[in-house]
This record gives sequence, C-alpha cells and structure tokens, in this order.
Amino acid sequence: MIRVISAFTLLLTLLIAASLTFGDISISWHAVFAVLSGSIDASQQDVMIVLELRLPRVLLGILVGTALATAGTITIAVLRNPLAEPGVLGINGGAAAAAMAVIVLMQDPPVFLLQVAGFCGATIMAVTVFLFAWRGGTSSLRIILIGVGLGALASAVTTFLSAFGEIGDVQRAMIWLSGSVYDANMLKVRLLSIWLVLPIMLTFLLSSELDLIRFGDNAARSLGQPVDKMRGLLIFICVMICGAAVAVSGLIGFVGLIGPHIATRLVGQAHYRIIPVAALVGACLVTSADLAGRVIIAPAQLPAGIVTGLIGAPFLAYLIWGRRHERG
Amino acid sequence: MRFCLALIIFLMNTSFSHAACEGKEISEDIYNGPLCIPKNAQRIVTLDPLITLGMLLELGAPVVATPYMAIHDDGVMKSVKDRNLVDLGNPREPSLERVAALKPDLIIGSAEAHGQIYDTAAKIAPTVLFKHMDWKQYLQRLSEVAGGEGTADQALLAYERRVSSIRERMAKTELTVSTVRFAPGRFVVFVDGPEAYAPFAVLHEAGVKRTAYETVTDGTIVKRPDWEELASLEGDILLYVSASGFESDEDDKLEKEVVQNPLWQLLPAVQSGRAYRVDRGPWQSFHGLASAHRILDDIERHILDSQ
Amino acid sequence: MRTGARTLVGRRMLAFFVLLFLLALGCLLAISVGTTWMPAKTVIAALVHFDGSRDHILIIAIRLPRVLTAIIAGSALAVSGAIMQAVTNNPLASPGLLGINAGAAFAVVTMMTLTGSGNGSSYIWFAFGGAGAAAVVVYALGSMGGIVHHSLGLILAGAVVTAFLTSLTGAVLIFDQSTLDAVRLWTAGSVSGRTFAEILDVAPYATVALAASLFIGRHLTALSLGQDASRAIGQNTALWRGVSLVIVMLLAGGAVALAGPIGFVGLIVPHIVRFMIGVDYRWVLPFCAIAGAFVVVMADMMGRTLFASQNFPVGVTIALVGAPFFLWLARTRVRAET
Repeated sequence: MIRVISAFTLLLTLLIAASLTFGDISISWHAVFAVLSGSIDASQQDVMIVLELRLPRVLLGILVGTALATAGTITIAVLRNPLAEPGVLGINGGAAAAAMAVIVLMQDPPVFLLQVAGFCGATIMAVTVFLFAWRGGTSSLRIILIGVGLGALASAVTTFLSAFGEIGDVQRAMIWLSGSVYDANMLKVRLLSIWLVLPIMLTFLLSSELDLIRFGDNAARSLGQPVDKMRGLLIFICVMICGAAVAVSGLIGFVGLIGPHIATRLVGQAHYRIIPVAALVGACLVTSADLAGRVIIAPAQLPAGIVTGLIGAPFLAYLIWGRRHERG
Repeated sequence: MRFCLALIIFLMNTSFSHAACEGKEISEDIYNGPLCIPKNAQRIVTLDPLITLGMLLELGAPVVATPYMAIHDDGVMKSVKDRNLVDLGNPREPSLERVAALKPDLIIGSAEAHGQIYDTAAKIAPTVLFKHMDWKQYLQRLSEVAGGEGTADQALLAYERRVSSIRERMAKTELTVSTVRFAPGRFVVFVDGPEAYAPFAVLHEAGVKRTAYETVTDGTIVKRPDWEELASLEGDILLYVSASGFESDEDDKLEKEVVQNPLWQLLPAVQSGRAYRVDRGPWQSFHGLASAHRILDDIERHILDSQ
Repeated sequence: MRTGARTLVGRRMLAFFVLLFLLALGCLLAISVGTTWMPAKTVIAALVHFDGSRDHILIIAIRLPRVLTAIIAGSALAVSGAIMQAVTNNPLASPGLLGINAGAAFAVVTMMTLTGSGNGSSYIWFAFGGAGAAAVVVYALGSMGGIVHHSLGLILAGAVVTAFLTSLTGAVLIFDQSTLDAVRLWTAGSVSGRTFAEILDVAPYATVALAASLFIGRHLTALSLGQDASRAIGQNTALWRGVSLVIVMLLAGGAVALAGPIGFVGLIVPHIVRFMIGVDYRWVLPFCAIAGAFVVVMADMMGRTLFASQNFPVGVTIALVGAPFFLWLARTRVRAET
C-alpha cells in the first residue's frame, strides 16, 4: 500500500510540474522553479502565468478529482454495484438543469449564481431521490431506479431549456456542462478546500462502515450497523462533496468510476486503503485531463470533462473484457 | 520549503493598495466600475471577435489579439490576418495565457460573456467589460476608451446624414418590408423594437416600416415562426438571409430548399417578385459602421431604387 | 372451453379495432390543431381531393408529415420496448433507459458532423449501427458481476452508457456549430419539420421490422418466461434473441433517426398494454404499436396546444408525464432487498 501511495504521489507531483510548465506559452523548467521559489529573476509575465493562471487550475483540478473519486467510492459501496456513479443519484442531472435554467432564463446573471445554482440543484435532486426511495426503509435498487427516473426528468427539463434559449446562452451552458476548470482562481480553491476537508476526513473515518454496508443490509444489521441511517449519512456526505465539485467545475464524469476501480484493483477491498488511493487517482486523472485539454488544440480549450469522457470509453471496454467470465 | 511558504502566502491573499488614477477613469455601463484605464492604450486585446473587434478596427485602434473562432466576415478576417493579430481561440474561453504573454495595457470584452474571468483578466491589465447597449452608443464608448475621444464623430456624422436622407425618401413610400433569416429547420425573425439587434435598429432609423407581426414594444429580440406563422410576413418587400450555421457552405442549399416550398411561394412579396436575398455578413454578424452602411446600401438597392 | 377462447379472441379483436379507430380520430384531431384550426371537413378534403389552396398545402406539407412521423416513432418505440422487456426479462428495459436511443443519436450526430448535415439517406444506417452497438455494449456491461440483481446491472449499465454517449454527443455539438443549429430540437425528441422524403427513408425499415415482430410473438412469450423455462421447452434462445436484437435495432434506430431520442414510450406503453391484455406477446405487440402511435400523436398535440409553440418537442412532453409514471413503477413494484 505504501508503494502504491508513493507511486501515485510521485505521479501527481510530476503532473503538477508538467501542468505548470506546459501550456499555450512555453515556460522552461528553470523559469517555473524561479517563480515558485520567489526569486527576483522571474519575469513579471512568467509569475502571472504560473501563479495566477496555471496554479489555481492545477489545485482546483486536484481538489475536484479527489472529491469526485471519494464520492464515487461512497456510491459504489452504498449502492453495491461497481457501475454506480454519483451521477446516478441525480446529482449531475439536477446541477445541469439548475445551471441551464440560470443561464437561459436570466439576463446577465451575476457570476457566482451559477455555482450556487449548480450546488442547490444537485442537493435538491439528491434529497428528492432519497425521499422518493424511502418507503419504510431504503433499498439500493430503489434508489438507483428513482435516481435514473428523476435524472431523466431533469434531463428533459434541461433539453427543453436548451431548445428554446438563445444559441449563445446554450453554448455557454454546454461548455459549463461539459466540465472544465477553465475559470479557476485562488478564491475558489480556498473555498473548495475548506468545504471539502470535513466531509473527506469523515468519509475516511467511516471506512469500516463502508466495508460493512457493502455486504448487504442483513449482514450489516446483524453486525450492529444502523443501516438506513448510515446509508442516509453516507449519501449526504457524498452529495456535499459531489455537489460542491460540480458547482465549481461542471460535470466531469467517470472520475467517480475510474478512481475507486483502480484503487480496488491495486490495494484490495478494505476502504481505509481504497479511499486515499482513489483520491490520488482521481486527482491525477483530472489534472492530466485538464493538461491534455489545454495543450491538444491550443489556443482553444478542450474541457476536462470531455477528456475524462473519452478516457471512460476504453475504460468501460476494459471493464467488460476483464469481467467477461463473470456472471452476475 | 520556500515553495510551501509561497503557497501559504498566496492562500492568505494579500490585498493590494489602491493607487490614484493616472489615466482615464470610466464608470458607466461596465462591469465592476469605476475603473482606471490608460489614456492612450497602445496594446489592446479584445475578447469579443464580433462587434467589438469590428468597431476597434474601424477606429484604427491598436489591437494586438482577438479570438478567431467566431469571425464570419471575410473582410474582417482579412484585416485580422494582415495585422497579424494573435489568436485567442474560443471567445467564450479565451486563452488568458496568450493574453498575459502579450503584455497588453487594456483588455476589452463583454460583461455578459466574460464576467466569470474578470478577476483573473484584471490582474493582467485593466479590463473593461461593457454591458449590452445600442450600437452607436457602443461606438462612442469604444472611441472614448480605445481610439481617443472624437475619432468616431466624423464617421458617425456622415452616417447620420445618410440615414436622414434615406429616411426622407422612405417617408414618401407606402411600402412595408419584412425580413427573415433561414436556419436549418426553422425561421428567425429579428423584430423592430427597443432592444432590436443592430441591423434592425438601423432599419428602424432609416424609417423602414415593418409589418405588425414584426413590430414590438417590449424587449423581444427575435420571433421564431414556423411555416404556418410565416404567412404573417406579409410585407410588400421581403429581405431574407440564408444562414445555415457557422460556416457558409450550406447556405445556398438551404435557400434552394426553402424557396422551392409552395408555402414560400404563396407569400405576397414572393408572388410579386420582390423577395431579395441579402448578404449574411452585415445582417447576421454586424460589426460596426461598415456593416451599417452596407445595410443602407441594401435598403437603397432593394426598396428605394427598385420602385 | 372453446367458446371461452373464441370470446376472448373476439373481445381482443374488438378492442384492437376500437383502438385503431381512436388512433384515426386522434390523428384527425392532431391535424386540425395548429396555429389556425382546420375543420375536419377541410382535412378530409385535403387528403382526398387536393386543390392546391393554401389550407390544403398546409395540411399536406406540414401537418400530415408531423402526424405520420409521430405514428412511426410511437409504434416503433413501443414495440421495441415490449420486445426488450420480453427478451431481457426485465420490466424496466426500454430503448431510452438502456442507452439504445443515445447510441443512435450519437451515431447520427457524428455522421452529420463528419459529412455535413442532410446528406441523403445514409444517416439511417448510422442510426441502426449506433443503436445496435449500444445494445451490445449495455448488455455486456450489464451482465458483469453485480452482487445480487441482474436487472439492476442492466439498468445501471444503461445509465452509464447513456450518460457517456450524451456527454460525447454534447462534446461534438460544442465544436460543430452548424450541426448544433440543425439538431437542437431533434435532440429533445421532436416530430416537427420532417419532410416526406425523410419519412420515406425510414418507413420501409420500420414497416418490415413491425411486420417481422408479429411473427416472433410466440417466441417472445416463451422468452419472457425466463431462461430456464424457455430452454426447458426446447426453444433456441440464442436465435430468437438475435432476431429480436435486429428488430429492436431497426425499430429504435429508425425512430431515433426520424424523431430524435424520445424516452419512456418504450418503457410505459408495454406496461399499460400488458396490464390490459396480459402477457401473450402475439397480442401485446400489435396493441403496443397502435397504443404507442396514439400516445405520441396525442402527446405532440397536447404539447403544441399547452405550450403555444408549434415546434414544442414531444420528447419533453412525454418525459414530463412518463417520468412520474416510471417513478411510481419503481416505488411500488420494487420491493426492498433482503
């Protein structure tokens, strides 16, 4: 486990260094180092680019990646299915509908409203899913089905708004929806890190509960876990984490799927091991996706969400291939 | 480590002091005013490649960079390439790294499209993001900010003279005019109203009378009739634009498709042979006085001179 | 005994013709409704005795294609949903939920981007291909190890594949402005604005597939009893599954190519039909065809009336009604797991 963590930490550090160095404008390693060490030799312009433009993006990418991977770990355990993404809880659908509504219906919305709307949409949707699925107790199957149904409803609303909005607004919304850390700044980084600290630590502390709930309701109950309450708490934490990530950077998919899967493959099933590794994998994934998106078709930016989506396909294929002998 | 220290200092956000303004101060109709901008900007970056870029080029302002992605008009694109302007990519997500590398002294954009990146852009150079306003007013504001006051006055005066003479001639006719844009699978009608899109504000100024369907008093900018509602475009003269999308390749095909439809042929203007196609450049991507003059050309050619 | 069976068949035939008659009435109504109300006399005159007047042109060129599109899309989607539910033995299977609509839509959008919009009838083949590929992928993913429920795995696989394809479609549309313009309404599921040429592109395949589905009714009933049962009666499950897949591909792909991805029709109409006439798929399929057509025609008409826009996408209206129904289904029919 130590080896895995060190390997990924090393990878992450390399990605951070690469993200600070590569981009539209090339800056040599020397110059980057000069900027970071606060040396007077660093040119004004390099300082601007590295510290104001690239560093916030990298940090935001790390935070978002960690958040999404942790949320994914929770959903996979709570819903007991290897394909369960936080999106299934309707989080993505709700955020998308709320954001689209703000962009299309409001003239000149204030900038922060998008964030707030995304977060509120995600939370309201997740709460609705959970309430609808509650019927003297909850069940993973019902939660998933209700999530799919409400997600389809939210997606109909989103499509409706996009079909009738001004094309410029719709484009702006689609760019936001495709998930990007383009407009990162240190304020967002600070806010997001403060917001995420508690839920992520809490998740780590609840690792053993995650292990238990994964075995099935009866097994968990017989071992003394208050299953319904725990499921509710875990979903609440998941929504807080995921809603904040979506609010800040739009819908970046598949991180919540890929992170936990790779972690499980590498360090086994115990959640106290999976959570840190999945977080690292998620951070690496989003950072590299953003880097790739910035560099591939410069000066235009390919949103990170699209890059992760493109990685998702081969990954899904790999999943199918790897499990072809298994029968549910 | 010094890196950690630098990181911590950044996380604590040292605020900078507010110096007295050495250049011009502007405060109306902009995002996050009042702002202090240089008196004579020598390196201007525009984040909006449509009306802002067009007007800045007309004013002869020293523009150094613009996003290329939304430029439709060939004339504008040629100017842009002749002056070797740096390409900033997508106007919705312009590459701020390239902007930073250019060391500009003024950045101009749209409050609606670029409000999100205001803070970051403002760290590179004073950033003026204008709110939506009438195009002539916008030309004036831009000339204040970029080209020096009064550079646009001569040109605007010439325009005003031409418009009023056309208006006099229009008052003598009884003709109504309808306009429509073809888009794939639908029609878009830009209406005559207080918030009209620039080309149609020009039409209004020139005294062109539109049908009742096309005239509004509220803030509507477009109406989207289907084939049935198209009958409301009952003007004596019909001006249409074929704009199938971003690229112009499919425009002719779209026009052929629409014009062959029997419902189109039942329109009064089509039946009397007074339906004319106009160029999408000035009518769909209005970019300044040059566009306004071409619209007046179209008015003279199709409405006044063809009587 | 025999009298009982004959009366049952007789009752069903009666019900079928009543439904057919309702469909015809519904179509007449849908054609009459629009920006201006066309009385039934005018509509029938236009169909039978066309005289080139403005009203008649409107009816034939604008309103009739809309209703025809709705009929084709509705019947195709409903029947494909019924077939999928039988084959996978999963009451929640449907082309929308299992990513088949998303697959066809993505394929069409990609084709339009690569070759320029409106390029003859080749887009149909892309739709079929996309539908088929998505079906295979979702089925393969869905059969992977999930801890308890196979049905759950299928739905989740469908949700993941749909999300993935939808985001990819969005990505393509961000970069290709002209395609975005052309398909904005279609991506929401819309029957407006189709020309006769486009309808004729799809109609042959849809008709053939619908006819074929009538012949596999008996085998579907056997398949819907579950793997073990159907093997026990000696059915060649692999063959009939394959045939069903091809039919579903043609039906769903055709419907999406014509009217865009309309969800919930394939899910809900089979449920209602089965509720009314039981699980004999020889009857379920034809009833689904008529009922599906009826639902889409009426939903489109209501959407146009309620939302005062002749282009209002029928996909949205159906989702607004269908999603609550689906939620009700999920809540009441799914018991908590042990």
